Amino acid sequence: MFAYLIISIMLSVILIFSSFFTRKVLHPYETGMNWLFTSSLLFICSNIIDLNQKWIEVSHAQLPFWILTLNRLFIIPGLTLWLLFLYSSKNFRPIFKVLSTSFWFVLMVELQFYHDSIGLIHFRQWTIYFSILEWFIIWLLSFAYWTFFRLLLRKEAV
Amino acid sequence: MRFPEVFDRNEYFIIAVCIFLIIWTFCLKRKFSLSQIFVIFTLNFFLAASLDHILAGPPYDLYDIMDIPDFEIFDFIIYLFIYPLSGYMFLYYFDTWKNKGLPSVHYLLLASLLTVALEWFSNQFHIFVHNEWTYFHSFISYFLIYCLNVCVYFWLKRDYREASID
Repeated sequence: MFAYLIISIMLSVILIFSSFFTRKVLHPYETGMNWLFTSSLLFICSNIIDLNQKWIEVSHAQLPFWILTLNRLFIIPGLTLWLLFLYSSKNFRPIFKVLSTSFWFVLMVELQFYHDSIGLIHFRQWTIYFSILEWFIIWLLSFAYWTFFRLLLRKEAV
Repeated sequence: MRFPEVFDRNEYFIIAVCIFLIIWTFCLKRKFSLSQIFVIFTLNFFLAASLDHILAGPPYDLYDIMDIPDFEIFDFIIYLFIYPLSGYMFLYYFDTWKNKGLPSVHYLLLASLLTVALEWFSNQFHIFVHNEWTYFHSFISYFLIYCLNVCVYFWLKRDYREASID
């Protein structure tokens, strides 16, 4: 578990620094907004699923808590940001964007199931379909918010 | 999200504060562009959602919000309206204060103290229930949150015309 925490910290640092490269096609506001919005969504989803409904039981020990918090603060928002970077880049073909979206979904669902397998979380009333639905909602809201904000920036001619 | 078990004074207090803040914000002259307002709102929404999850949830459980430890619809209303509107007003008056040439640190300390006083007032309506949390912790937290808001303010002012989207 400690090794996974170290990996999570390293991954978080890599994603934070790599986000500066998204400036090539994303406005700094878009980068910041999307990161904060995705992270907020993850915390709210966690409150609803783990705390209220108790569909997923989360370990209350410090180490799992901080691993999950790093995931919600940096890793998942960072990966979502790169997905939006691919969407806004003109250098990639549409099929590559579709494949990247599929890969993002598989990665998110797999990550959740990996956390269950190592005992970080424990599924109680949770199936792969709920997982897909959860990530679809997060993807949809992140994408919608980003699109709306991008249009707003264009309107303001920033 | 859960609905409140009993609709009593803390729910009425939240609704009253929301209406008051919305009216106050609309009465202010606009100093930021719409995109900048969205950045300020998202930042404060994020700070509320993440810090409350980390500090108020297990394993730390330093305080509870509203009637039950679970995530209530009124918790979400606080995140969505009260914190973002307060953050916006903080930066609005920071801009005014700065343009008058007054020291920023004085404003930060004053705003933090005022927010602690408002937290004490809201606690009379059982908005927060402190477990191991104290008003000193609140003061330090508000001070750091406002410092972050000020950093974002300077970033917004500097970066607004620097970059352009593809």
